[in-house]
Order: sequence, then structure tokens, then C-alpha cells
Amino acid sequence: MPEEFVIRTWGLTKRYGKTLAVDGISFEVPRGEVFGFLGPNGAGKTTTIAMLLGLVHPTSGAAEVLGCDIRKGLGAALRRTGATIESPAFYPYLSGRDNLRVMALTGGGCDAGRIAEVLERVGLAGREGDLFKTYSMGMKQRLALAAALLNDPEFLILDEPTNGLDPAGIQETRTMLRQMVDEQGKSVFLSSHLLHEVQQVCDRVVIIDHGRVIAQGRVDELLRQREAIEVELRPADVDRGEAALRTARWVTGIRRDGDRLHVAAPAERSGEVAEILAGQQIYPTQLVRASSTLEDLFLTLTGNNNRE
Amino acid sequence: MNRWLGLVAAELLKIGRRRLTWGLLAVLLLIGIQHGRNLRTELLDYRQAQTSGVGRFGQGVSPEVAAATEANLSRRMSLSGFLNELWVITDMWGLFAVIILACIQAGEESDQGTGRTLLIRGVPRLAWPAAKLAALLAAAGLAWIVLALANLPIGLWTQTQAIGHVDLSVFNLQRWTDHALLLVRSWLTTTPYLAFAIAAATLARGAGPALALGLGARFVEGGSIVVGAVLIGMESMGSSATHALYRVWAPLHVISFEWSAEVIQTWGHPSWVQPFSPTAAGETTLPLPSPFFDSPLLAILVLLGWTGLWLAWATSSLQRRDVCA
Repeated sequence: MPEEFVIRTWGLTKRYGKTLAVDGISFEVPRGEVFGFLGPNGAGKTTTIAMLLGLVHPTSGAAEVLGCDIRKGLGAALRRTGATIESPAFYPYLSGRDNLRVMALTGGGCDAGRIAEVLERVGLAGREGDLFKTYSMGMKQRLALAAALLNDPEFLILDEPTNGLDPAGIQETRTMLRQMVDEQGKSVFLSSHLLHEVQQVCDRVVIIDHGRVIAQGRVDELLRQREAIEVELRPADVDRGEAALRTARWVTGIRRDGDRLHVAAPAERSGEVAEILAGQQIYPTQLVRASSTLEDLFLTLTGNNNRE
Repeated sequence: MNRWLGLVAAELLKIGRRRLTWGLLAVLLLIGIQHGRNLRTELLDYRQAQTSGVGRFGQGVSPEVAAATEANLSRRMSLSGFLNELWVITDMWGLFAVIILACIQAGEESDQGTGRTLLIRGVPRLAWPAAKLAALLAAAGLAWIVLALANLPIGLWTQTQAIGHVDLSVFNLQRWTDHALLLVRSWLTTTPYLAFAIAAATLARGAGPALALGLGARFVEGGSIVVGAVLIGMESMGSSATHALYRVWAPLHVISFEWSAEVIQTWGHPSWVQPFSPTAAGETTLPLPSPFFDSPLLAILVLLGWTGLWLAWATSSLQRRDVCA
């Protein structure tokens, strides 16, 4: 019976000397979803992924990938997983096809038909005979994705898979990942900086910063928590209007900005906001639903840090 | 396919596609061709001197010396003599070639970052160094066979130059068995050198430092014999300080790759007298080296021991290491 969660971590920690790269993070990735893994540069994303792939030994804590304990050996789990990590690394003197042959052989071998199939799928058909060292960054990323798909994995762990891809390539990747989850029942753990893409493709996300989990949950629920209604009033009505709106149970907060009230409430309550104000003979000059994006949420939670 | 054999096949694919592999093989072939040409030049030089009376073998050379020189050249240029001589050369340069290939083959996994690409596919760290060694050994075996086959026509050519015709009397079972045995022994004795190169590349995390270590160790180890010669020379000049150093150095030499490989390669044939041998030591007042000097069994154990040690070291280092992030 397949595991309910493809990844589970409990207090996973990695320390390099005095530097705490990952600080006791815990999260679960349900099967059959695209799960986003977000964080600013240096937040500990790649270190976490490296631990989940058995490249880096955790200092403390525990984790399971497809039910396998990462401390006891991930061989069985990795054979059912396809992964990319950091920038694509292949043999520069081999062609794209030969690089995939090497990868296939290390897994016990696979037929030429499958190699051609994955090359076609990632858009490298026709360039498979070129040497890897002649590939552009986007082509290298595509080859890394092809290698991850080679063994038809049930679970994909992808670290920045769209780095260097052109907009068409990004869209193709997004469509492909969604298809794999929706039509083939696969699971995807996706680390990316492209928050717009993540919002479009992911079912859930976990956001980390300074090696710690700072938010996690379903994307729609996280965004709903950030929804607001912007109300612009005549200056004389601002105090009364704020007091009236504060009486509503579903208003979780109000921020004033001159004549504008930023009302933290579900967007679908905007009609009721107008009703409450009208009950007090207050008629807003403007009332708009301010929907939140994952980027807003991310920048707010991570303090808009621009760390390298 | 079995996963370990798959790993070996992947390594062989990389070796076969690498330009360096073919470049090194071409150099070894050129060395063979050049050696044949050198012998021919020497023969022509000798004949010219005999005819004109000018040169090294011109005037003043007794007929006995001239006859011995010609006989020696003819022996060296015969198919069997040429193959034997060339084998010594190929064995020496071939060893350098496989060390270079092994360092680069193992070091690129760190240099190119391909190690992590393989590990995230579930390649077991325990199997990795052993698979590399097996593939490099297989590649070295193939190269040895190619070189042996390529040396045949060169040997026939030198023989024709020396005696004017092809003499196929050398083609008897005994001679070919000897040559084949030499080839197999020479090939197998590359094993600890390859294992050392893999360990050096794994520990140093790159081909550059591995090349320095692998080739450096080969030079130092190969040169250790000079120490014996110097010690014996000093002893003959009356120095008494050599005893302690000789007592330490001689057993170390016995457990070196160099000497153990030579013992195995000359197994069943008379070996040349080394400065550390009981014979050489016996001519002085120096203490005798290991009683196991010249023991093929010890030589096999020594080579296997070193191979195991380097592989275990590489594997253990790889097992404990954080590969990226």
C-alpha cells in the first residue's frame, strides 16, 4: 500500500560548524500533489533537499522519503524517485543521449526507446547528439529533467527546475508537472524562486527562512488568510466607519492609511462591508477586493530580504 | 542488468567516449613505432659504420665486438626480442597512462559535480569505487591486448629489417604462452596503482590533486630503489651509518607496489639483482632484508592488501562525506 506522505520530516537539522543551515524543520508532503518549497537565498532549501536525497547527513532530526528513513539508506526510495538538485551536472564530453545512457546504466539499464521518449518530452529531440558542454543553460535544465524522468518515477524532487528556461519552457514544465500529478497520480516536491509559477502549479507550500519553517499549508488557504478589502471614505467618516467594521466577527484587523481602511477579511464579504457602512449612513467613495499573491505573502513573511 | 554491472558498464561507456583514452593509447602506440624505428636506425648506423669505417662501430672495433654487436641488434630486432623489449617500455608508460586516466575518471565526479547526479539516482556509495576500479581494470586489459596486437606487425617489420625476411619460428605455443602470461601479469599488477588513484581522487575531491598524488607516489615509489643503491654504495665506502636506514628501508621496499609487481611479472624467470636483494646485501656487511624477498605469494598478498586498503579508504571517505549543499 502506498505511503500517505511522500516526505515526512521531524526536527530535521543540519549544522556546518557554527552555521545552522537547517534548524529543526518539520513538514509533511502528501502523496498526489505538487508541493512547493520556498525560501529566500540561503534559507536552507538546497541543504534540506540534499538531506532528503541522502547527499548530506543530518546533524539531528529524522526524515522519511517514500517511507524510507534517510539515516538508514535511501536506495529503495531513490530508485522510485526522480530528482534534480542545484545546477545540472553531467559529463561535458558526452552527448545528451550518452549522458542519459550513463544514468540509465547506473540504474541497471533501460532501453533506447525510453531515452528517446524522455528527450522528446523535455524538448531535446534533435539535439540529443550534441555534446553536453555545447548546451545552453536551458538545455542543460531540460536534460536534468529528462534524467529525473528516466525511470518513470512516482515522485519527483525538483530543485529550481525552471532556472534558465525561457518563458515557453517554464510554461511547458508547469503543464507537464500538473499533468503528471493530475493524470498519472505522481507527486512533486518543487523548490523554486518563481513565486508566480509556484502559485499556479502548487497545491501546498512550505516557506522556510533562516532554516526554519515560517508558514505551511494549502496555497489557497494561506492566500485567503491574507485577503483584504480596501475601503476609501470621506475624511469625516473614517473613524465611524472603522468602529462600525470592527464589530463584525469576520474582520480580523483594520489598518488605516489616510482616508483608506485596509480591512483584513475574506474578499467575498465585501458586500457585507458595504452593508455595515450603509447602516451607519456611510457611503464609501471606493470599495475594492485586494487579493493577495504568494509573492506578497512570501515577501511579508521573509521580511523582503534580499540575501545571497 | 545487475546494478553493479550497470555501474561498470556506465564507467566503460565514459572511458570509451573520452578523447584522453584514445590519446593515451595513441601515444603508447607511437612509442612502439618509434622504438622500432630507433632500432632500425641503430642497425643502419652500425652497417654504415662497418662499410665506411666511420662512426662508433667504424675503425678500431675488433671483429668479436662487431659480431657481438650485430648479434645483439639482431636478437633485439627479432619478433620475440622486440616484443619483450617493447613490453617493458609499454608496461612502464602504460602504467603512467592508466594512472592518469584513473585520476581523471574518478576526479571528474567532484570536478564536474556529477557525483551528486549519480548519488541522487540511488547509486550506492559502497559500490562506486569498486565499480570504477573494475571498469578501469577492464579498460587497461583491453588496451594491453590492443598494444600487444599492434606491436606484432612492428616486430615483424623490425625482424625483416634485421634478417631480411619474416621468421615465423617464434610462433610456438611456449613462446605465446610466455607472452600472454607476461601480459596478464603486467595488467593485473596495475590494480593497486588504479585503486590508489581512485582513492586519491576521492579523498582530494578532484582530478588535479589526484594526478599530483598518483603520479608523485609512482615516482617516489619507483625511485625508492635508488635509496638501496646509494646505501650499498655508501657501505662499500666504509660508512657505518647505513645499517639502520637499510634495516628500515629494505622491508618497506619489499612491501611496495613496485617490487611486488616485479616479483609477480618475473615469477618463474630469473629476476635482476636489486640493491635490496639478499645477494646484493650479502656482498656487503648490511643486514639482510626481509626473508620473504622474492616471494610471489607475499607479492600477491601485498598487491591485494594495498588494493583493499585504498578501496576501503575511498569507500569509507565517500560514505561519511556530505556531497553538496
